[in-house]
Amino acid sequence: MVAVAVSAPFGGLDRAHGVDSKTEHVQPGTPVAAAPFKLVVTGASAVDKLTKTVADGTVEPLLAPSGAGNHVMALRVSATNESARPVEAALLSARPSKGGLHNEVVYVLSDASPLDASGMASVYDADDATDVRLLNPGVTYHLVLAWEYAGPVPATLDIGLARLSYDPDLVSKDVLTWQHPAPLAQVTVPVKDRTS
Amino acid sequence: MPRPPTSRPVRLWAIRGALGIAVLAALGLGRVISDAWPTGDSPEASFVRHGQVGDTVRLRYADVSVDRVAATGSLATVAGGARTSGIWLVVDLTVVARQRPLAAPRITITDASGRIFSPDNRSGYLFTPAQTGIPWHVRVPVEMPQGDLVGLVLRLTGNTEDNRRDDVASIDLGIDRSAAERLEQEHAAVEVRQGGPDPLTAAGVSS
Amino acid sequence: MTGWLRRNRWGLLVVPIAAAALVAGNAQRLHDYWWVKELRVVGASGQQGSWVHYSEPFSDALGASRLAVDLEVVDVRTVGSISDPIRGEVKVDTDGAMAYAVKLRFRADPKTVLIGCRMALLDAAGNRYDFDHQALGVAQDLYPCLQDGAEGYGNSIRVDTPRAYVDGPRPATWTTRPVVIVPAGVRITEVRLWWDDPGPRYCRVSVTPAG
Repeated sequence: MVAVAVSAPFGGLDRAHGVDSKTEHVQPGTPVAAAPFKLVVTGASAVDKLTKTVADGTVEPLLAPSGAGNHVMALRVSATNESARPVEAALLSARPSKGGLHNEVVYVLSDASPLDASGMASVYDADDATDVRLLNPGVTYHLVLAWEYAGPVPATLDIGLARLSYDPDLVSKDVLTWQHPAPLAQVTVPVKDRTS
Repeated sequence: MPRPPTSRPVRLWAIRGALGIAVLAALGLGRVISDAWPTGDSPEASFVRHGQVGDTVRLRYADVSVDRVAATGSLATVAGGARTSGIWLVVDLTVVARQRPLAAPRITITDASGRIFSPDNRSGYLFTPAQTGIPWHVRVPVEMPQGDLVGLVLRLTGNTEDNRRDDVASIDLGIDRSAAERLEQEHAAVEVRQGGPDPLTAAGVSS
Repeated sequence: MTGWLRRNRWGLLVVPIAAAALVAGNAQRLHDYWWVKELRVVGASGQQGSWVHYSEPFSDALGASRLAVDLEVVDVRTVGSISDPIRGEVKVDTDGAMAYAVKLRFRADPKTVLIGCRMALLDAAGNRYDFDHQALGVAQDLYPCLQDGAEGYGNSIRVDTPRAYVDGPRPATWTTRPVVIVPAGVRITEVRLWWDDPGPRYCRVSVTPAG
């Protein structure tokens, strides 16, 4: 009892937010208030590798699988930063849901989850293929979250969406950061198979 | 001078009691003073130096001026270009570092309702360290939502981490309603290169 | 009065010791947040045209040792162009700026780790003009005190990993010629080299530029 009481100020009594919490199932294309973002999950494709086409027509690689037989999953989302400050794109980045939620709003429930060492997806602008590092308030970004995954191309991808809270940092209480994810909704998107 | 033995213990407790009350009174007075006149942020506040487009704002570590303000929907960069569903506000700055190079100032735009916007490398923005004494010309593109250009203010601070008690430039970009409408009509792509000593060519030239 | 002093002699003796302990206890912050943030300690001082011996503490995952190097500022002169390995000689034609090339000679034990060095030119007013290996978009060697490809050893970052060459071995003596961009018309009086960035130790050489 003493141990529980002491850990309470550090969030020890917060309910552990597992991915099996009952959350609302929404259709792709439905806006979700995944604070600090307004998010719309629009679709997904599986590709051999992610590339961009530059002005003179040449094709440059953006993300290629490192493991043999692996593919790249590209999840298309529209995201608008609804807060009053720029936020890092890393808050969006898709992570596997195994191991609980980290500080992101998008997580992958089904297989075909990110294999990258950090467990996170890369975030690109769908219109100009630039690397997106931050999202300014009020702008709607059309994004691609891309990651390497192992295994066959799934017919659908189950995506979990969470919202974050703008709370004092554990150590520096006068610094506020987006954290404490709470599951909000689930989306099931069909996956277009564009692999060879 | 010897004291009468019978009054000594009484005197001692009286002295201790009086001291205790005096300490409590001093603590209480201290609390009353800091509640009535709170220091707030002032010991750590930055020193804000104001200016307008064309002014040279003098900071401890540099002179800063905004030379021109433009807007566009697309940028031309060495990496291939960047687009937005909003608008790129493009501010041309001249910075002259004082006494030592200025490596990484933090530049932001604040709108009329207090929202803050930051430039980002995907726009081709790169400050590069400004050598001491050499006018350094930097084009700063900031991605913003449409319809939010009136009353924008640019802020520049010496570093990205700690600006307590240091100079901060706050430059009003002078965008009123008619200027905002003109800016929102601008469509020609703007070329963005990293900062350096070469003067910037007018916006709208893309090669 | 003397009675009071006598009764409190031990306490009074402790007061300066306690005050010193109080300041020393906070000295860590003074050191970490102020002392080491600037170039403050002249480790070695010399003149253009003579050898200067410079040494400072060095530590990495393999432990503490010393960095020791002999250096000579041979020559400081204005130049009209900077050499780029791909673009060849790139003219310095920026209005209001000029370029100084600093010819340096070094002698050091090939096992000494010398990566991380920085250089600046100072004028008579104490303004500091830092060497930037990418100044004006020209690719110079990364370190002002080392030749690209012959830097010698780098730090060991793990206790069980020996130091390895950054790229290739370093000869016992070598020269470099870093170029610094400065505002036109400044009078350079000093070359500074340092390894601890931002401070506090550095090597100072007084110079008389030519050209």
